Amino acid sequence: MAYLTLRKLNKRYGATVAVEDIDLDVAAGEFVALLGPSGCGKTTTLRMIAGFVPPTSGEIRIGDADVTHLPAHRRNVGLVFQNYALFPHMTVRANIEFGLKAHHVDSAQTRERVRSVLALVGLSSQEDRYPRELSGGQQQRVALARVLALKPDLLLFDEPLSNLDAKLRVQMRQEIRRLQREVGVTALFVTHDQEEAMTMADRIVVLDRGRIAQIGSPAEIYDRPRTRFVANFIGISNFFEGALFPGSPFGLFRCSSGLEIAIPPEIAAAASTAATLAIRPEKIEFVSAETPGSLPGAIRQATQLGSTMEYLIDLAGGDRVIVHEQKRPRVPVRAAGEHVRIAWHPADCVFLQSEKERSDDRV
Amino acid sequence: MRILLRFLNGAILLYLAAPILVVVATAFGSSAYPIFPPQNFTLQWFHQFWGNPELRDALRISALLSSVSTILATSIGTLSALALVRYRLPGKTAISALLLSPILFPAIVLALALLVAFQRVGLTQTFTGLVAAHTLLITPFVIRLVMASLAEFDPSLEEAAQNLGATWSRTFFRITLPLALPGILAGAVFAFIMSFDELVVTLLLAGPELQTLPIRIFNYVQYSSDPSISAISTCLIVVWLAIGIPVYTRFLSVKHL
Repeated sequence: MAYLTLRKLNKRYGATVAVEDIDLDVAAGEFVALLGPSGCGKTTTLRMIAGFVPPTSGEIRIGDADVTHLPAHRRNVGLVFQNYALFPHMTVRANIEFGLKAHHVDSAQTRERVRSVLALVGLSSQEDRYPRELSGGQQQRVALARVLALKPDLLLFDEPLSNLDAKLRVQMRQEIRRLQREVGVTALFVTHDQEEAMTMADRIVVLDRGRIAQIGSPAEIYDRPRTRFVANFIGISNFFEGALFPGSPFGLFRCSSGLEIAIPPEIAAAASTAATLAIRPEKIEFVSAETPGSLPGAIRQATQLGSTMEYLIDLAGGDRVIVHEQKRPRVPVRAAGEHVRIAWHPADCVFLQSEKERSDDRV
Repeated sequence: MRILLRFLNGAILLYLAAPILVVVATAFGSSAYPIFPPQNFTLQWFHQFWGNPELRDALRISALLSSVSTILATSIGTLSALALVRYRLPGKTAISALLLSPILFPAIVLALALLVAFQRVGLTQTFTGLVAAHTLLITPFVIRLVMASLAEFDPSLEEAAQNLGATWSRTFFRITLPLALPGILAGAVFAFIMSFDELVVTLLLAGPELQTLPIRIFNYVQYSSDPSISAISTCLIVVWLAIGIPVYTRFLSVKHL
C-alpha cells in the first residue's frame, strides 16, 4: 500500500514543461531520493507536494487523503529547506514552538515535544541560542527538529546538504537517515548529488527534463541503467553505438566502428536491432593475449583517482574506452603507451533504450 | 596621502555641519538678531518661542498633521511594498513607477496640481486636505525603504512558516511583519521628517487657520529676525537627533538608500 502517491503530475509554465506525467508510489517508511541535474523538475515536484506550487494537472495523495488542492499550511508535511529557513528573530526553542503553536498544541505538550526533538537531534543545550549563533550543521539539525516536532506524515528535503562542507555532508547523510529510521517517517529527498542519493536512499527516482527516466534501488540504477542519460548521470560509462549482428545465435553486437562484442543471448533477444551498449569502467579487465574475445589496445592516458587508476585506452578499431582498475598490493600501475588487451563479461553489458524509443513512448 | 584625505573629509563634514552649529549657537546669544559668535548666554529666545501662542499652535498643528500622515503613509506604503516585492502583479513596473512618481515631480508642480484638484472637491484649507497631500508626498519614501528591507528578506521563511502550519495571517504577523519592521520604522521616521519639514505644498493648500510650523517660521523671518527662530531650530535639531540617530544607526545602513 503506497503512502505517497503521485499520479500523472504535470506542471507547465506557459509553454515550458517543468514536470511531465510523474507517476510515483512511495511506501510507508521508505526513503526515496529524487535525483537529477538542475532544471530536471525535482524541486518543482517537491514544491507541489509541499503545496507551494499548484500542479497544472494530476493528483497527489498522502495516506488516504487527496491533498492536491489543500493549502500548504493544512498539509502535514515537513519540509527541510536548502538554506534551512530558520526564523532569524527567534531562538531555537521559539523556532520549534512556532509550528506547535500554529497547531494549537497545549503548552505542557509543547514543552515535552521541544525537549524530545532537541534530544533527538542532540541540541538540548542550545535551545536559547539564535540561529546565527549556530554552525551550519547545527542549523540543519534545528530545521529537522522543527519539522519533526509536528510528527509529520511525510518529510521532504530540498537539497539540505548542499550548503555544508564535504566532511559534514557525509556525516549528516547518516544522521538524517538514522533520524528518519528512528522516527519511521516516509521521506522524499531532492538532490543533484548522485553519491548522496546512492548512499542514503532505499530507492532512487532519476528525473530528466521533467520526466522520470528510471526508478529503482541504487544497485539497479547503477548496474542496470535504462537510458543513456541515467548511465551517464550516475557514474560514468563506456558507450558503443551499433546494431545486433543479424543471425547470430550467441548474441553479437557490431559497433559502427566495426568492433564486435559478445552479449548474453537473453539481452540479444530483448533488444531492438539498433541500440546503445554501455559498460562500466570497473567491469573491464586487463587480460592476457590468449583470452578469447579480448580486444587489443594502447593506453593513451593514465590518471590517479586515489585508490583506483583510470586508464584511457585506444582500441584497435578506433573506439576509446575508460577502464578503472583497483590498485593492488605490490602490483605496479600501468603507464601511458603500454599495449594491453582488455575484456569483460557479456553479462556486465547493459543495453540502453535509444533516445528515439524514449520519445516514441511519449505518445 | 591618507592625511590629506582625512583633512578633506574633516573639511567636508565641517562644511555640512557648520551652519547647523551656528544656528544652535545663535539661539543662546542675547543680541536681538542672530549673530555669531553669540555674546552673553541666555535662554530668553526659548521662552519667547514657547510664550508665542501662534508658534505653539503651529507646532501642535504640524505634529498632528505629520503624525496622522505618517501613520497613513506607513500603512499604505508597507502594504504597497509587500505587494510589489512579493506578488506577481500585472503591470508591476508601471504601478511601482506610479507609486514612486511624487518623488520625481517638482514640489511646486505637485502643489499646483493638488490645489486645482482640491478646489473642485472642497479640500483646500482643510486638515483632511493637508493630510491627503502629505500622505501622497511621503508614501513613496516608505515604499522605497520597505521595499529595500523586503528585498533582503528570504521568501523561504514565509514558506517555512506555512509548511509548519501557519495560516496566512499568522505568517504575516509573526514572520513577515517582525522581519520587515526595521524598514517600516525607518520609512516612518523618514516620512515624519519629510512631512514635518514640508513647506511648498502646504503653503498653497493651508488656510489661515492651518498654519504649520514651517509656514509660521517662513512668515516670521520675513518681518522679524530675532533668534526665536534659532531657538525653534535648536529644539527641532535636538528632537531629530534624539529620534533619528538611533533609528538610522540601528535600522538604516547606507545600502538601504
